[in-house]
Amino acid sequence: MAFSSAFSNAFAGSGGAGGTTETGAVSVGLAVDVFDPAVFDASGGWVVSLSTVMVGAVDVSARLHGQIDIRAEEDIARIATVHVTPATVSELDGYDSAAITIDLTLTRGTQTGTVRRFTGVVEQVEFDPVSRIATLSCRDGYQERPRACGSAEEVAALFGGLAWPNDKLVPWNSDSPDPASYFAGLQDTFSGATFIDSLGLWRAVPWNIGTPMATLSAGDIFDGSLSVVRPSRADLPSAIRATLTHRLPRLHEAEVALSWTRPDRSLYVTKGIGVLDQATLMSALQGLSDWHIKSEVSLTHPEAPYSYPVIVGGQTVFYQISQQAAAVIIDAFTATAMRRWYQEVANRYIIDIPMGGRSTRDDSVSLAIASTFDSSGWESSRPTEQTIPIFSANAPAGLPLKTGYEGLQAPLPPVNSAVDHLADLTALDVHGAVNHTIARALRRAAAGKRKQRITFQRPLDPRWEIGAVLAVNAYGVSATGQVVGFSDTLDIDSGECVSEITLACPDGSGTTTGFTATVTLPSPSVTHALTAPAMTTHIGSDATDTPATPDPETMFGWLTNTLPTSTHYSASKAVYETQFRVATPIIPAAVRDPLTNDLSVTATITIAGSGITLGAF
Amino acid sequence: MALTFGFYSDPGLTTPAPALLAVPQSKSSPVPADLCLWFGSPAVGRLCQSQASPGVQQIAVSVANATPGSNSPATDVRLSKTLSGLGSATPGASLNLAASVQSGVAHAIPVYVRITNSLTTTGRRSNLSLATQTLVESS
Repeated sequence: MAFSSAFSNAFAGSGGAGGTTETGAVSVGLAVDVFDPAVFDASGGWVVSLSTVMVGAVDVSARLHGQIDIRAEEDIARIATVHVTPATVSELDGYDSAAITIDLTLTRGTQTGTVRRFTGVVEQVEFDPVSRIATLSCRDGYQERPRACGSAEEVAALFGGLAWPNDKLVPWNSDSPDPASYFAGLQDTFSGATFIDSLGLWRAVPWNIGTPMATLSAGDIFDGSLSVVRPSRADLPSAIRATLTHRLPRLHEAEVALSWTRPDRSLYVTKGIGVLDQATLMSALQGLSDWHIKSEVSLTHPEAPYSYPVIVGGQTVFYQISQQAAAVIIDAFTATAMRRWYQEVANRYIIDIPMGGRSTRDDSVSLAIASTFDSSGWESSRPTEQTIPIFSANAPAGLPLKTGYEGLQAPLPPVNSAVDHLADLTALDVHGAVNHTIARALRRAAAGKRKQRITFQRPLDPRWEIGAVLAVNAYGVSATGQVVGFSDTLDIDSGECVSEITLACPDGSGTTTGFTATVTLPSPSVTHALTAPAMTTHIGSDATDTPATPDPETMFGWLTNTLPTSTHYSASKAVYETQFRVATPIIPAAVRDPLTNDLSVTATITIAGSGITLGAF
Repeated sequence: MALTFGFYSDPGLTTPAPALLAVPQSKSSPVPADLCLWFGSPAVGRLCQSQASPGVQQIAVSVANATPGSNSPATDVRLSKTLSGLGSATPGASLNLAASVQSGVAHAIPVYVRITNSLTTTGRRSNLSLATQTLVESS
């Protein structure tokens, strides 16, 4: 790091052994310029103004010409222009990038006051070889400070803890740091001004307007210099709306009970309908689209002795099933089908800041964050347990109790309900993003209201720094405001010395500019009460049981047919493809389609200021 | 090689503080002038301690008065590590920063300075300064 002679020698250590150890004391000098306030009195009389300009270590005060201009505003570099006759060519060469300080001294009668008004570096030297005068354009290095930062923490520190960093909305790119851009992002959330003051110190001053440090009356202000400017329509809409949209998946899980029971066994004899075999059933269950069978399927097989009496035509006959066939024939089953799906939800946290303007133009701050989550992968994850029990009896001890959730990817929503999944975000992230958004809107609102300004000129008065609170009570104008800019002009040749000061006098609601916000993350109130259509047995090619026009939308369960050799057979009735049709319920659109929730934020917002009062005309 | 620790003019430790901080003060009913400096080092992996008793003795910032007498007294200066603490700070008292200060922005310590003139005669007084004891900086 290169050190300028204008800066502290505090770092000059005495050296030490070993190369990695240094010793020394650090210090910084203080100078108190005691002045008589009468120096700044604007009453009649005369004032002598002098300036002491140090360029590097050279005092050029005696060789100044023309005007010295110093201009300062919030959030930009302070600039100064001086004209000087260099003593030598080497001195002229030495001006380039030299540190410069400008002290202004006023003498009124026997009283003298000196105020340092500028500390910076010479940005550009323009030399006129005819007049031998060099014009030095100087800046205070405002832009360089953020650019010199090497981390997000360093940039954030420039706001004195009063900005609202948020790595989701204003991320710091470690791979390709852009501190200037990051600084701008944080500045958008800072309800205050940053600048380098007259001493060269970085300042972050909140937009607070409390008790004025001085009250200026008509006698303190040049006649005709006072002006009142109201905010433009663009600066003052009717309201500024801050909206943070948080996109996240709402994870649903629903379960429905599936069951089927065989028809009366007599139909197997009288109509010759087919029996439901296990392979057909399991194929149907495992082939469900989007739905999965949770846990094990409870199967009921014919039981020994596999000979069942049935009444046919008033006679008892026996329906025989072999033991081997019974093992694959299904008399009944119960199962739980489950489905997971995600719903795209946009929670919009909204707050309106009334501005009182008549413009209806939409002036809003809209930001968005998103919970990053592989919702499709989550949705398609399946239970991994066997859908058919391995053991029908005497299962080995110690086997873990199955819950039906084995293999399912977390998170696990409550059964027949839903959960909003923040995924890679936390509740604090959302709160932080909401605060960041409100802070941006507040800065915009406060900045708009602060366009209500008064500007006046008075004899050179370098006492007031940006952020100072002054009151004006002159020419029927009464206002208390904060210095947002000044321009000092000192003419070496004529002796004219003027300060033009601009005060922001917003119509506010207090003495501070800030907010407090309370955010409550919504909790989904969702209850799924889905039911699957009943699954029964549908018999085709049957003179009595087959409808004339079967409705496929209601045909769920076991589809089979009457044998042609049966007396119940009808060649004219519909013949079904033998199969087991499983029905699952439809997911209602309300819990399936993208959803937007508008959520209000409870906040207290204040903008400092008491406005401008104008006397009766 | 010089100390990298020192007073800086910004919390990012990008710019050393000016060698002289000149503050205007009225001789009557002066408005206190508040400044903020940051003590720290932008270097990497450095540690600052007092030389007399490293890690034990506090690194202290004191108000040095080079020429006592009719000049500004040290009691015109108050020091604090917080802005709000300036009001209750003892005039002229030194400020303990820490027994050890690591380099880096995260460890920079703000030093708030409030200057309230007590003199009734005008003119520049440059007799005061802020200074630490002898420090040792190591890696």
